[in-house]
Amino acid sequence: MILRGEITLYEVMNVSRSASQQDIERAYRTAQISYEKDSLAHYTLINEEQRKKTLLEIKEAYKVLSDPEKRREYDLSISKPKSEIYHNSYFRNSTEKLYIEAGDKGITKIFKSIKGMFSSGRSKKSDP
Amino acid sequence: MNPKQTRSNPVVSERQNRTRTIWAVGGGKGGTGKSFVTANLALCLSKKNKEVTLIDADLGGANLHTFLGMRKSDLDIGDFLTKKVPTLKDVAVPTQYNKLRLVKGSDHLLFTANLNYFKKLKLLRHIKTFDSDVIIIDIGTGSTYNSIDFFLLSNPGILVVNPEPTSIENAYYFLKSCIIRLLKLYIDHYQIQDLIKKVTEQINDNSRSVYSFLSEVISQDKYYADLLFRALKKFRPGLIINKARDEKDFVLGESISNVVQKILVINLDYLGAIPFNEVVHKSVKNLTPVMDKYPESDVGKAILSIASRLTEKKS
Repeated sequence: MILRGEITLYEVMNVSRSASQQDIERAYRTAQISYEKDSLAHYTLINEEQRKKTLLEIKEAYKVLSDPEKRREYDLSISKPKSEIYHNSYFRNSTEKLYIEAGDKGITKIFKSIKGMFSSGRSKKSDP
Repeated sequence: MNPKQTRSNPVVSERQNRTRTIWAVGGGKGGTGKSFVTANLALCLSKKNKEVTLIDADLGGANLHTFLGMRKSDLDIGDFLTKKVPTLKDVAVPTQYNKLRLVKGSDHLLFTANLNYFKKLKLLRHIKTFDSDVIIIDIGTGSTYNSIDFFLLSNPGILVVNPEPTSIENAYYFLKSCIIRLLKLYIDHYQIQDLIKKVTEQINDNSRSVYSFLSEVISQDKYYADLLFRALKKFRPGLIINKARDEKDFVLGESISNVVQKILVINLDYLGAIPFNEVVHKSVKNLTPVMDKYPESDVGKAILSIASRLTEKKS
């Protein structure tokens, strides 16, 4: 799962962990239609290379999840607990002071601190 | 306790504080049928005995009144914004339909197309004072901050898209603009400066998907990846395909929802497709909504079904 730092085959196929075989079949069919070369669904959103790669990932995921034995093995492999979820401190230094400042001052104050939520109405199209 | 856990989710909490159900209908391109859908959804709900207020915030292209058979003669939203009247309620007029009232849009392009901070806040505050069951805002075309902010703060924002490349292109541009706006809000708030440039450069110029952007954040700091991921998942717009003509058009909505969930990492709820039908043209010409004259048509039935899904989604 993305929250634990990895993308599961379930997410690749846009189905839940408890999806039935029928759900997986349906998701696979939907994905095949969605990522067809002439499908409007991905128009301008991904390029040809990304489209092929996505379709390939979905096919690989389907191979595992549509086979009950392979799926069982896969489920076991991803159910192992993950350690050190917060092991990396890439942004930690720059934001440490904020945690102290935030405290329990309430959402109103925090929301007010958001820059630009209702800033001037210039067009997004003018942005780079 | 991890100090990060004390921080609240700003946008979500703001939503929870709201007491009104506000839908915002948008979608980037002009002519997709946003005002048509807005007017007919509103009439559909009022027929179900719901109190509905319609707000025409299609700044510069307002014609919601025409879809309801009204002329542009009364006060409009511009009169409120220029302080000719003290409250937004003063410019809300009854329609010929029971339980349905309308705040007409304004022609005063110069001051409405670019609402400043205070006017936008004031407008939002006044919108929330309507004691209606549902408030529907027609936010019009384009991807201005005005339309994006109203779309983000509504529940849900509703995209009206035609099964055509131009419409889909603009809808994706609008959705990406919303996502960038949302990510920037969080990144600004949490002062994750390193990410701001990346969001702007990589997602905006299409060189990377939101998905691959988040994947990189995961490898750097899982807490922030989690935070941004959750923020995106709370943004859950709806999708209506309008003017569907063939079988492919009717399944397109599900495909778009599927692709968006994967590539843009947000859940886009497909609400249904409205078939292309001449009754729409007839009803517009006759200044009478489809839900009034042709509720039994396939268009009327599709709108009824969408209204039911939206009210279910709300509850």
